[in-house]
Parts: sequence; C-alpha cells; structure tokens
Amino acid sequence: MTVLEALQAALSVEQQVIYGYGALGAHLSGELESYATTCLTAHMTQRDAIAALVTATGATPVAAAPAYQLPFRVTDRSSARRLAVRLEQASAGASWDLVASSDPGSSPRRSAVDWLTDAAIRLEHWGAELALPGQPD
Amino acid sequence: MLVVAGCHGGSTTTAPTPTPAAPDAAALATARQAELRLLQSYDTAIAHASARRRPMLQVARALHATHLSALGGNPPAVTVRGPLIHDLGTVLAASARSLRQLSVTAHLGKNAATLASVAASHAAAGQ
Repeated sequence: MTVLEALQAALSVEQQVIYGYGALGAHLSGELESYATTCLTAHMTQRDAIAALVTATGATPVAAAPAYQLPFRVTDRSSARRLAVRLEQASAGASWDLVASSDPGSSPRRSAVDWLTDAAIRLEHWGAELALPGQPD
Repeated sequence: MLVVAGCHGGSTTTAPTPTPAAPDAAALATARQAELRLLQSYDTAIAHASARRRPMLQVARALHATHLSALGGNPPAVTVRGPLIHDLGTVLAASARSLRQLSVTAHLGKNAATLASVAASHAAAGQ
C-alpha cells in the first residue's frame, strides 16, 4: 500500500465515520450525545486534514458518497454505542495503515500516529479498551 | 457501501534511505524495557491493592503483557516487583509520548504501526 493509497483509504473511512456519527447521534442523549458531537467534530477535522495531505501529493481527494449502508440497524442507545465503537475501530485501522505506509518523520506519519491515539481514547470512552488499537485482525 | 469493516491494506513501508541491518532494534528494545517496567509496577500495585481493585489492575497488566509480546518480548508470568507507583496514569501518559516519538522515526512500517498502537493504548489507559 502506498502512502497515497493509505491516505485515500483513510479519507474514505473518515467520510463514512462522519456519516455514522450523524446516524447514531439521534439515539443518544445527555453526556453521550454531547460526546458523540465532540467525536463528530474531531472526525470532520481529521477528514479535512487527510484531504489536505492528499492534495499536497498532487492527487484529488476521493469524494464522499451521498449515503452509506451501516453495518447494522441503530435503534437505541446500546446499538448507537456499538456503532460508535465500530466507527472508531475503522478509524484506528485506517490510521494504522497510514502509519505503516508513510515515511519516517513525514507529515502523514506524524498525523497518523496522533490520529491512532485519538481513536484509542475515543474507543476507551465508548467502553472498548483494546490492547493494540488499529491492529489488523 | 459500508465502512467500517476495518479495511487493512497489508501495508509496507518504503524507507527513503538505507536502513541498518536490524532497523528499529533500539526503538523496540526501549519500548520493551518500558513495558517490562510497567509490568513490574502493576505487579507491585496488584500486590498492594484491595480485593475490589485487583481485578481491574490485572486486566490492565494483561494489556501490557500483550504489548510486550507485540514488541517481540516474552512477558513473564510474574515480574520482580518494581517501586509502588501511585499515579500510573502519569507514567502511562509519559510512556505514550515517548512511544509516539519512537513510532514517528521508526524505519519499518510494521514497527512504526505497532509502536503507535502501543502508544495509543497507553494514552487511552492514562486518561
């Protein structure tokens, strides 16, 4: 996987994660709803940063689809939390790939290392503590 | 279609400069030493913990044993106990910062990703 492929894949994942957070927010309330909004904002920032890294290579960032199929139906607080975990796992996985594909000391490497940490912290908040976040199965 | 299937691409790294025969050996050794010290700290904490707190510490210890394995080490069943650290969160946060820097400069992608993932786990646990 080249760094550009990893960047484009990460961008695609972030677009889907943003869609997913939009879908799950309606099933949360109070502190969790507020936290989901914080996560959504963070992922939008991350998406924009990845798109900028793609553009910096001279390539065109992949476009988001109008809608995505969620991996399961979100009907209540419990399924919303499960989706949030799934979304953060996907984000962590994309960051793992970007770390692995990027050159030492490069801007994509530095950013991806930070994004992997961000995803792990959000996973912990959603109730999923992983020994090696982002690691492929 | 869907995300979230966790799509990994079987990554490789293209290092721009020649790498030593055992790239990242020093970084991995540093990370293993840090994990071993954490295991010692957890073993000490577990020995001093109340029965109610002990299971939580044992879960955390298991995470660090997994880290040590991922970094190429062999986690001991029980370590020689280290000093009793009252603020493990601070220790974990400092370790996360150090591991992130090791990840940024690692030559091989697989090593960089493993170091970044361990750093991420420490940062999350140190919250």
